[in-house]
Amino acid sequence: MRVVVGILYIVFMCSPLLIVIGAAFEPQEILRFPPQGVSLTWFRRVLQDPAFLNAAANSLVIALLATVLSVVLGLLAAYALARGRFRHREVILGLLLSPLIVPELVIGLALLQILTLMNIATDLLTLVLAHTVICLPYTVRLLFNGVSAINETLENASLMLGASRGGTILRVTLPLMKSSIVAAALFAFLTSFDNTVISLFLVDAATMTLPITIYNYVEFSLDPAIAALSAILILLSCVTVAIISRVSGLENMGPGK
Amino acid sequence: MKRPMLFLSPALLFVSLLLFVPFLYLLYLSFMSEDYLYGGPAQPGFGNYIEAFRNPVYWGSILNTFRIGATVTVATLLIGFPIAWIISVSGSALATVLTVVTILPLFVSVVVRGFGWIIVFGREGPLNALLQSLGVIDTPVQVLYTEAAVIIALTHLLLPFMVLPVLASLRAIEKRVIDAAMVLGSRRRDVFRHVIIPLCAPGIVVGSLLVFLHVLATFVLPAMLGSINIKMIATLIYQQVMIVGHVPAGAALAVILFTFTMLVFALIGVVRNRLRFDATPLEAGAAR
Repeated sequence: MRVVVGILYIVFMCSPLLIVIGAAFEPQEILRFPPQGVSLTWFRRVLQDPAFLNAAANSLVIALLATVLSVVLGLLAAYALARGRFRHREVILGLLLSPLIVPELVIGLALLQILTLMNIATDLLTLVLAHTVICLPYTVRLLFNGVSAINETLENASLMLGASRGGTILRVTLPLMKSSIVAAALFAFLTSFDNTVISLFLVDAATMTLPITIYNYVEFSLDPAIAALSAILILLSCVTVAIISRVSGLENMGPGK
Repeated sequence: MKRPMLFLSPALLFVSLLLFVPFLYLLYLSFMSEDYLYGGPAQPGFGNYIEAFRNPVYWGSILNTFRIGATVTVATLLIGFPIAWIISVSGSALATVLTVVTILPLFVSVVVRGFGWIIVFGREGPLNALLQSLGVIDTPVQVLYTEAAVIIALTHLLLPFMVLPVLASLRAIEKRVIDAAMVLGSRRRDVFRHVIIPLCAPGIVVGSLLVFLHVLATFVLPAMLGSINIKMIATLIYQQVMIVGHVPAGAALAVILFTFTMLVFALIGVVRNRLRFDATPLEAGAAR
């Protein structure tokens, strides 16, 4: 009984993903599952299509920059929050986590309006900054946990033995936080790379990202090209999950943790 | 360290400039009349808010969102509770596989998942084929672009937000309590109803609130799978602002949406404090 229910659940949770992968191997120009044959035509077509390649490059650049920015800002803030002595720690942490509780649609809409007000054109930089806002809560929280987990006596020993505060952070604290930095960077990267809602307000033809390309494409035509692209993205997701579970364990992968 | 504010200020400044200031401007816009952005006078008023609760299109989309939210919450509970239960009592192999298939989809872009459902729900798609081979239906039925499609996809999207908190509260139950009830002669059914369910109530409540919270603000799946047939708050805001060009009206709806999500967050906070449910592994985000 248990196993039957479990298998039904596995089928339900996996079916949309497996069906996308299956449909990607279709030789004809029809989107269907199961495919009538096995062919790599659509993978080849996607990997040669300048529109998809351009969107992939944009997404990659934006996600990398947003990751670096949110990890750096997050590291500074997390270190101060964990090691500083001051009141209102909870309030400040709450402020930094607040992008999590505002619906993304509201963030995107508000950003677009203020950019319009200030006559700033949307470009790659505005997308990077907007993505960084929603990555920041994840990096702050993961890195705050990372710093908090370090035994402060190690840092104190380094300070007492004559190292400067900066040297201590560089040679003691950061190396000890390696795994939480990797986890924070991966979370930030995925959050930016997969973002649809905020990008929807801020992209234009030149800064088109991958999720928005898929979103727009599906509205007008349904052929196996998007299935092939999706299959590649699903594979990348699986690789990321494997890396995260190696770095920080399966239990830590829950959303928002 | 001596000057923590020096380290904190970049991040705080960043969030202020890119979140708080834009949000305050959106709040300001929501009190303006429709022609304000097109050169009209700045005459603040509650017109957009009154309209949101009086105009049947706006009010209907709010009601629709709540109805779909309630349906998805019940669906995730009906599926999620048994799964969390199976994970908590099964051997490691089954439990691991179930945990992985619960978490893995969270890392797949929601657009990709929406596209997967488009194939599944198609007229010649696997769902229609399955229903026909089972003899449930004779001819293919329209599933795509209906509310059923949106509800199924949202249930799939949000199941992790139910399974994980319920699992956390199930794991927190001390086995001795269950053993005590058994030893004292309770039937299994009564143990389940009078011991296990009440003890994992916090997980069920928090999971339900999280699922509902995400349905409130959900945009991508209703837009992809419901198209123009399904009106929810988020899709209506997007339509008002980006297609029709009624920015102040959209801003008022966005503020209303924000208020709803804050109320649900407050409820989650109350539940966590009252029931001392601190095992929740999640607060928000990730469902996108």
